[in-house]
Amino acid sequence: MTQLPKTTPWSPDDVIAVLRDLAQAEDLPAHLATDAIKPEDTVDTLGIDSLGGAFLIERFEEMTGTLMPDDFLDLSDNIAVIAERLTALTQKAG
Amino acid sequence: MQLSWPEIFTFVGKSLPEGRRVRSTALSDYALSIADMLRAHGVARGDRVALWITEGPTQIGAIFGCWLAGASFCVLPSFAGRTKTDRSQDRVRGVLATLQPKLLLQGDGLALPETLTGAFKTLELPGIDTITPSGTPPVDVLAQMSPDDLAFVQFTSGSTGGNARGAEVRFRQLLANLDALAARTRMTPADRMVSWAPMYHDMGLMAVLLPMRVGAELVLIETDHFVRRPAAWLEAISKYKGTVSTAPPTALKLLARRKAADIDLASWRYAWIGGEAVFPKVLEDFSAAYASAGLGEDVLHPTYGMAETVVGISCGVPGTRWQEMGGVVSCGPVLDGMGVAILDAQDAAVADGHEGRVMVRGPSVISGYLGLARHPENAWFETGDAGIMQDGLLYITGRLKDVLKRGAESYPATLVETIAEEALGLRTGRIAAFANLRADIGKEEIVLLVESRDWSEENARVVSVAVMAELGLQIDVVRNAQGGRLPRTSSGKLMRQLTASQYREGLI
Repeated sequence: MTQLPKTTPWSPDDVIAVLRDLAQAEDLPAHLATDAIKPEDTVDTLGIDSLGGAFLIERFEEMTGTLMPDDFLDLSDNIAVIAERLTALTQKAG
Repeated sequence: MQLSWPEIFTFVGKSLPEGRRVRSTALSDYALSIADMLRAHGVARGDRVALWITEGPTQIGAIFGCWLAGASFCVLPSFAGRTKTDRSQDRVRGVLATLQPKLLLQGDGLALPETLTGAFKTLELPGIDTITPSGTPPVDVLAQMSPDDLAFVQFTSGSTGGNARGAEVRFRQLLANLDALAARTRMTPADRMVSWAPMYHDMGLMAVLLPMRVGAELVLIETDHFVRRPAAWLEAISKYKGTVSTAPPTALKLLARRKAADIDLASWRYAWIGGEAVFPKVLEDFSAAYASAGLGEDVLHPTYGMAETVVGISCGVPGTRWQEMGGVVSCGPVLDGMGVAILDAQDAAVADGHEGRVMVRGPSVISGYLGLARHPENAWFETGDAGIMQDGLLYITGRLKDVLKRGAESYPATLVETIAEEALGLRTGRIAAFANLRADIGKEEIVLLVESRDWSEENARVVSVAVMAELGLQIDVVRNAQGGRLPRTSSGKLMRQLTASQYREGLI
């Protein structure tokens, strides 16, 4: 599993690394383990549904030690936006 | 023929995270006012009413309001809200054309999907707070109904385009199943059900109606609230001292990892686990995660059932632990009054411990789908599942019907294949969609196997995105058959189950 310091600002690459981990763990579509993923890709255009999104949030909470707000993730969010939100949350929590 | 009101209902949702308690007298008044509105809008005895309402007092008021007006209801399936493509719009139109509702009831403040807008006469219901409580005792919601009247229609996963299949559930079937479930789970007025399951699903409807058969309380959580905050489910069991609850195994899997904190589950005595394949690993992980929160070893009960039997066919006996046989969990003994036969390919009964097709009959089996041929009374119904009877316990070992399940939602394999074939520009029959039961990770994996000579790895993403856009379904694995051909019959028809079997054995 990807390990990131809680206080590190999140980059799109960090989020992509989490997606790849979860794909390898078979919680997210297998193709995400190797596909080219861009910061502007949205969650739904990666083939992730709301249940997959729940596993994604679970991993973010585990890595940041911070509870994600209920409206943290929308399937139309892109990777860059998620990274910005995670940075803001961890800075607030830190 | 009666349902019993508990004194209090509790509703939890995004706007009500602390919960709202509503007296039955108020909910009864609300249902009576909805019945009056229905009559004023021309709804008469025997009519059908479609519901597009989120889980909460409005939805329960609408259900009972329909019955008080002598009508049946249909909670429209979730795919009615997914209308991005012509095909998905056709699917919804097929449901509406079959259902022919006299009226569409819309939840207060809830937007209607495009396909539902203007399709039928629509009434947006006022919220429960608009009613002035009368203080009179709750009404008998079944007073207008007889055992052979239609209670509700539930559209199944096989509903595609012009082939909408709405299971007709009559009151005698509904009450027979509720009574059998109440007896098996030993439900009493002292119980308190906690549910977040959507009511277009048989488990969700059962969770609302079962406690009312015995006068037990209900704590109803908005499904969307659970999706956004899964821990809200266990927090509600803890806070309201829930004794009975229901969930698909996916919810257990998620919450075993995303643990709810500071909760006490000691009150929870019966968990109805079903809606999709149940794996030992999922039950064990959840039990281990919440043992310290007071979850008993004999609380989780894998169950088996389907909309065509109202909901239940078999479930565990309170105080007993589920059994495992070759990586498959037991779904308890068959419910009283229901019969199960395990048959081989030649329709001969197989011996205990041998796998075969699961057939069911009994007082809860529906008499047919709306507008389609009747199912003869007390005839065996083919479930489309494979299973084993052993020592009086039913084990479901696989699925023979072409249905994919994820999070208790069902999807027709043929529809998924069609979407994928169109996305890749392939001819019909070049993709097989099937479920791969993975006991090792506790998951029903959805696999698409593609027969294409012109394959690139990007195709997996193309297919996933297309299916996600149209059905909201995540595809776990998309693979090319690597030059091989998918197995077909002599007439060229895809042999989906054989494909799945060969895939599992590593032959494709």
